[in-house]
Amino acid sequence: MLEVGAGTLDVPGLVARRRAPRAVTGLALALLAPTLLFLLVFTYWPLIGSIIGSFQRWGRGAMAPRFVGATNYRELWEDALFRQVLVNTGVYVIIESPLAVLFGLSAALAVEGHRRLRLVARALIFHPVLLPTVAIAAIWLFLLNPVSGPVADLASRVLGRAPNFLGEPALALGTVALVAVYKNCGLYMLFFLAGLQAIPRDLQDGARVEGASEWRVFRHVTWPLLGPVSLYVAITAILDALRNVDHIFVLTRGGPANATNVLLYETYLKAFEFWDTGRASAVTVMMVVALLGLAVVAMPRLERGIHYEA
Amino acid sequence: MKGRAVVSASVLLLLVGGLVSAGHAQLKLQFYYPVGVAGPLARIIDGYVKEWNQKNPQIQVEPVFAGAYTEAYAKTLAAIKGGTPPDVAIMLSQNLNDILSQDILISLDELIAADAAQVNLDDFFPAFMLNSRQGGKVWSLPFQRSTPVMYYNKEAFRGAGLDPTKPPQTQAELVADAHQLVKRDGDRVTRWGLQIPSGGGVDTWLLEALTIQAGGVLYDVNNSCCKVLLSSPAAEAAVQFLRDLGTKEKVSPPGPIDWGTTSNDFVAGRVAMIYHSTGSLGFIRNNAKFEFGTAFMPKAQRFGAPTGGGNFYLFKTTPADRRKAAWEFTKWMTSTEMLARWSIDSGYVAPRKSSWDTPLMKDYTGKYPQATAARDQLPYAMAELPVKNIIEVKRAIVTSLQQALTTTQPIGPILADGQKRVDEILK
Amino acid sequence: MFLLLATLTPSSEFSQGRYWSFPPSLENFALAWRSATFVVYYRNTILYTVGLLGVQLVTVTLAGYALARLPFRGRQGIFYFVFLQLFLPPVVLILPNFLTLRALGLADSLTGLALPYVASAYGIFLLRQGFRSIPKEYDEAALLDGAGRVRLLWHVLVPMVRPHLAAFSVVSLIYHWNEFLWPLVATSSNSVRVLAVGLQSFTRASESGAEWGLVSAGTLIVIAPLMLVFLLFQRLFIESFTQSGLKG
Repeated sequence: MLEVGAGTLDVPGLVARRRAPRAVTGLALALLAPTLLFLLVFTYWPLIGSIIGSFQRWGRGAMAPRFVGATNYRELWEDALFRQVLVNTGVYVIIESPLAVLFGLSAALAVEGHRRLRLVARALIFHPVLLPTVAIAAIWLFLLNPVSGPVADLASRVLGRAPNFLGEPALALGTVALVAVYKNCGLYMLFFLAGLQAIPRDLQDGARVEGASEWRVFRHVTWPLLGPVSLYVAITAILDALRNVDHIFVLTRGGPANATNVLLYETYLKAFEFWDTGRASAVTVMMVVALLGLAVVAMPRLERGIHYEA
Repeated sequence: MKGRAVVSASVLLLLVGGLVSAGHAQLKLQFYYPVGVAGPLARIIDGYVKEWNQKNPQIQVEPVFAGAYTEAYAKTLAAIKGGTPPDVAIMLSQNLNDILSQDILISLDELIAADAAQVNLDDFFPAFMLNSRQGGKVWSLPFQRSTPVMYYNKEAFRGAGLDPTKPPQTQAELVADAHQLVKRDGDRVTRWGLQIPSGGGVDTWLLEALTIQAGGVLYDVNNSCCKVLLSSPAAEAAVQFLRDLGTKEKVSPPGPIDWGTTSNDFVAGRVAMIYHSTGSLGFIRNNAKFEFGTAFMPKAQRFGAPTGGGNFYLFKTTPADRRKAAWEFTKWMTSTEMLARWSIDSGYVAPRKSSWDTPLMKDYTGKYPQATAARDQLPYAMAELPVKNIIEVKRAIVTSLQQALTTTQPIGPILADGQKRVDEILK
Repeated sequence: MFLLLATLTPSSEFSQGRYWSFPPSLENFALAWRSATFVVYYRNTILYTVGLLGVQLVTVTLAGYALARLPFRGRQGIFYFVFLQLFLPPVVLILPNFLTLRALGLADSLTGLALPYVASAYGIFLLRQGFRSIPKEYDEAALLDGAGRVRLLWHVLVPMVRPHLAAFSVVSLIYHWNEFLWPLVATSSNSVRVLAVGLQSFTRASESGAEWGLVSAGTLIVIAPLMLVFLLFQRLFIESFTQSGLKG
């Protein structure tokens, strides 16, 4: 049975289906209706709303909005703080996503063959995924206290001084990223474990029998077959990096001096603390544009990846 | 069968009866409150509200703990804008101009005039009323008010050869004492001399204090809603002082110091002197295992402190009958007796003079003289930064401050940049 | 680990840097429980996550089936329309969604909180994969036996995508149980607050005095159920991921 393109079936004997395409369409739309409705109201309409809003300036009080064209965008672009937020977001994603994926993959590989180890390791590495990010952040806030926290104590014994992980701009963004890695890598490990289990052992064993080293087995057998999973995990990791800011809330509130301020956090600040709806909408639109860019790049590849399996 | 029928019937009757009697014009009020200082204050407030609810079955108040000041404010605004406003809330006194620009408050003058005996405005310390008045009207009543004070570890003083009854009075003395108090273990510092927080919940407060002490004010008193004086000699001196503590004098940990963990560091014996809210007195008293004292913050040019803390506000959105009920609740919470109890339970300064004369209070200050430092500092107190768009302004100021504390660039230009930003925000 | 220790030690000891004490004290738990209305938070969080999941399972199954099995014009287009949402998580659209809720009068309600998530591209994607991996023979066999499409779906196909449903349920439950930013903004009354937001306010209050023992106790109270469920059902969890062939 072949599935080509949009999926027209090519099965002998089921002529009946082809004979009533309209009824099928009706049924399909009926089944899809709730989904489409909610998508329209809570995904696509808000998009349009944001675009419209971003061209307006709202008085902070109860004043009605006025149209100001592209002023919001221009001002944001000229604002050094916003440019810093953009850079921060980029750096954060570049640090957090690859690390989290790498740790997840390594953990999955390390743990894969060993039954007993697997249970323990799974629990240990996976449990942060179950915890609310705000809780994890609260714990790390305590651990990283530069004066009386255990990490500082350890660091000063080893290094002679205690770096202020959350208070030094150069360190803060990395620290915050690491906390996120800590939380997320367990989930990615699970995905990779699932992918690894789907790889037929004979392929790997076959290669080993032929004298290939572990690394070559990985590189030439395992890794290619993990292709679709890896792609999927990579995309999930990037999305997670962009949309999880809970820990920034607790750890640094965007500081010090906006060193850990990323796009979504700035959106929250502008929207819900400064009530600057116009500019907040503009930031939202920019985030959406970035995400759509990611979508354009990733979607075709995902579709292809899927068809490999089917 | 019969027994069961009887039981169910009586249960039903009880239920119905309960419903009916509860139906007697019982008003439920939503009360938002923040906690911005150390200690289990949320539990204490909930306790007070429970007491009120017991004494006033007709007016039931639901206390909603809303986080620290900034979040609570954001939440209150969100609730109002979202269509589910609270009936009464505690918000920072300094947010007055900002709140006024949202057009959600009712002025309290009429209500106060009608209840002049209970709510005698002269009974409130003038310093605390500074942030309540605007445009000739009174908009809020002081409740949990404070000033920063200096806490110092008397045991540490003795150990360092300093006289524990003579805390430093000038900044020069402060630094000198701090040097004596720093303890090192080789290269590691096991105890810092001084910590003045510069980041975290209360943001610009201590910067304001230092600015006042340096002879200036952080905002333009003649244009109090709309002009911040960040790029000024006094503010520069204040920022320079903070920076030097960490980098030049090395008596404080370098970089921005967190408000929240500073009180912890103090009770853990990791720092000998701190600037913190008098509202943290309760927490420090309960957790410090050493003798400690409080004192005025040392002067540079002069003694000085910003007032701080929260007031009670009432809203336009509240319908008339609930407003009356909310006012009753407000009056009770800001009564002489309650303010005295609250001050004792928390460490906040009771904003009414009469509270300090109650036997309860006299007894307390006899046992804990540390409580009086903030009150005695009041003559030197000024209003807290009152401009509108206050959250964004504070964030901009803190950004500049943190920049100054984490780099070695000259402070002048950093503050000038900050000034530009703030002016933009306040346009 | 650390969390456990912190919980069992009275706060004052903890502040001094002494991380454990004998005998372990439960006072932190008692205080934490009394300090915040955890019962309310629990109720809200359960209602929110389970309620949402229930609705999601329905929409996701129906949509996944339609996209997997029903040939109709414009299917690919609709698929992209739906799939795009994977890249537009509701939390990015937090501001406009808040405004929408307000306009609908649904701000500060658990229902409103759940609405943006009802349509879940992730779930639809998973279920579509699931349905597509079922060989068509099953469909044909049932149809030849005279079953209508609906019965086919319900009795034959749905049970076969159980692992996918399970995997999705796991992800959805965990995500929404711990969700913070959207509920922070979309709800304000205490009666509608969820656990993560309650915990954060709780942390913030004590942050000022950092009663870490208390905060830890509160945290443990919040995470306990999920941890328990995970420990008990670890194998099931993992296997649902594996069987659903999350490879693609």
